[in-house]
Amino acid sequence: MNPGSRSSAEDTDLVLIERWRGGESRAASELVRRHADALARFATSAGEREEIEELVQDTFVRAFSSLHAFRGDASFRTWLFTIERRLMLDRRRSEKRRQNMVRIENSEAATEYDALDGMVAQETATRVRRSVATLSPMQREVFTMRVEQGLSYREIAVILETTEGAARVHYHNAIRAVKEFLDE
Amino acid sequence: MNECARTELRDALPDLIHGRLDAVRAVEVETHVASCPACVAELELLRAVVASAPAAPAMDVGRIVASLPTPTRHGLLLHEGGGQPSVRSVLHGSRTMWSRPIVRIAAAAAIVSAGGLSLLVGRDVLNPETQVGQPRAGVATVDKPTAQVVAPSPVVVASVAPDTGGGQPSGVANAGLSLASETQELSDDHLTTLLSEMELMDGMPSAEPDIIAPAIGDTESAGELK
Repeated sequence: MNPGSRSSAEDTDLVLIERWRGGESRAASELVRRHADALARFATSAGEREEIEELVQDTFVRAFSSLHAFRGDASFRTWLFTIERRLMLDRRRSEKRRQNMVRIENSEAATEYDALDGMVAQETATRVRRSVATLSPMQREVFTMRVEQGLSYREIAVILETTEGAARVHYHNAIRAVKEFLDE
Repeated sequence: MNECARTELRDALPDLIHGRLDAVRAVEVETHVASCPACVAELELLRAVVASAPAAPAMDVGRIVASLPTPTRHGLLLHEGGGQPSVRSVLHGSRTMWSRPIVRIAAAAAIVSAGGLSLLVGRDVLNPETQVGQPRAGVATVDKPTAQVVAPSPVVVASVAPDTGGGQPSGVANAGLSLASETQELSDDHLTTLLSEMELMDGMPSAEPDIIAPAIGDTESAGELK
């Protein structure tokens, strides 16, 4: 097998990062391929509806531009999520002034998810989304990260800059609230 | 609403969905779920949440990669490709050439050296000995002391030479040198004769200016003024 074409699927993110630092641009491609879709899902779960690819691109650009600051304490994906979340917060702050943001507020969430009826065929799924929309912002972030992205409490704590215990409490309160909404 | 009391197992349900449990832990959780109606219901709920998640758009990996910075030999990060990233933080973490201490020190040393050299050159230019091609100091100056004394005076002569019609085509400095050398060759008798002739020359105007006679037509007007 040609060493130059060796698949990097078995390499860890840290190995790929080191290869990229050494000038191997293909390592960056592999890192993007690994995490781009997850970042897109993360943004979508967080309520972003427009220019998601631009958001993901900005996340990678910022991440690769400041890789010297990545110490590997958390996983590369968690670090990417942290960056993307900050970019989303910046975007929401700026777009809030223009009132063009599709915010997942309690009153607007129902309308937003009504629009998703066409995408979500089952009525149960629609109700699930509505129940998630009723959560507080912190509960909703923790819940979607934990359930939709499969992040651990530790990873969530890193992204939200809180503690694992706090993340766990938010998750259990969230799932309890969702159950109560669906039982009504 | 029933909830399982095995909190550590309930916490593992999202990991079970995403396949983030090792084999041993996965079997343990699945075994518990099989015998726990509350966990079955919660697992179904979690799967419904995942299934109802809004679809994310497909990402263009190539476009994203094209917008990424690339590391260089000097550690600088430069954008390449046709991407248009909106985040302009590429240079925030990079170090330019001028940020290196060795480069700064070298630049400061070069500036100081250039300044000192310019001062030395400026002093040489102002030195009259250097202007006339004489050595600044040393044996040559000692051997010809008269040249140092005589040299300034011919410059004065040369400066008036064009007014007297004796301009030297080789320039002021050369004219001064030639006149000085000619003066040195004169004997004492010749010099005495030359000085006496110069005293006879009426080169200076009289102290009293001549009376300017008014024009004829101006007589009346002159009287009116009186």
